Amino acid sequence: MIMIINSFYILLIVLVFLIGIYNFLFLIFSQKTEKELIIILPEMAKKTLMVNVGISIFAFFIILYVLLQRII
Amino acid sequence: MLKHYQMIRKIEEGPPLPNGERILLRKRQHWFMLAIPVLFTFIIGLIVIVSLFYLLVLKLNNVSIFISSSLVILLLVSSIIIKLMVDWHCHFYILTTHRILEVSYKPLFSNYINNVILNQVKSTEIDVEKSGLINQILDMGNVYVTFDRPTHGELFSLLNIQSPRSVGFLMSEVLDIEKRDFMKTPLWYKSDDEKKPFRITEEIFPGKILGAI
Repeated sequence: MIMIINSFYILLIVLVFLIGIYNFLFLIFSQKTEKELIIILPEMAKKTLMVNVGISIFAFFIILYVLLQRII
Repeated sequence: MLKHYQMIRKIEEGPPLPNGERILLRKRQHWFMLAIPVLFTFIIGLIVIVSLFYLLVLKLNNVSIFISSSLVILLLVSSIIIKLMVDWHCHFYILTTHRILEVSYKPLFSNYINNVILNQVKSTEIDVEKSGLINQILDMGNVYVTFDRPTHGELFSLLNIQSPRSVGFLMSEVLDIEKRDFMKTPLWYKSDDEKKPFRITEEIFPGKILGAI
């Protein structure tokens, strides 16, 4: 049971990491698109992407801390 | 916010285009095409969180895992919703006096530009379609423009746009009237230039024109 829960935490960490990378790349490519097409992207979308990247980094460290506490 | 961003930029604020080209129409897809996937994503996320609550809190009595996994689910849902919004925002149709353009940019995924230069093709048919109860209520439909393009697809489609009938009528006028300006003096028409009434001349003896069309 403990192994299953730890594996679940590891899965969450990997997911958070991947989501963070995806949001970061999406933000960069959206900025590139904005320059290429001269389209004004919604400010809300850009801010939400930045917030998502921040939350991903935060969640990554929190889940890693909880997992390490369980293991150690 | 959606209303303000219906247009890319006000036509009057746009920079002047070269060669006297004028933008006649700029249109994104109907907001309904964005609302449905966003709502669907939100509902799926909610169902997953409720399921996790039932499983992790009520059954296993483990609140910390539930909080961690809910955070991840919320991150995932917001990432998907942002992607849907940006994809909708970067997909639009432009009609100018010289061309008709469909641009679909999906950052990080795909780019698609379909550019039909109007003075190189002839528009044979413009069809407007608005079928279904929801489309009738929301005034949403498709406009299909058929060109005689033997080397490419013949059909240019404007899908799920608002007020397709008015767009169809505008395109009928533009593709008809403006085409006359491009074909003002093609080869088989009589020249408008009084100083050069003949298009093709043939010179056999130096300095004298013997044949003229």
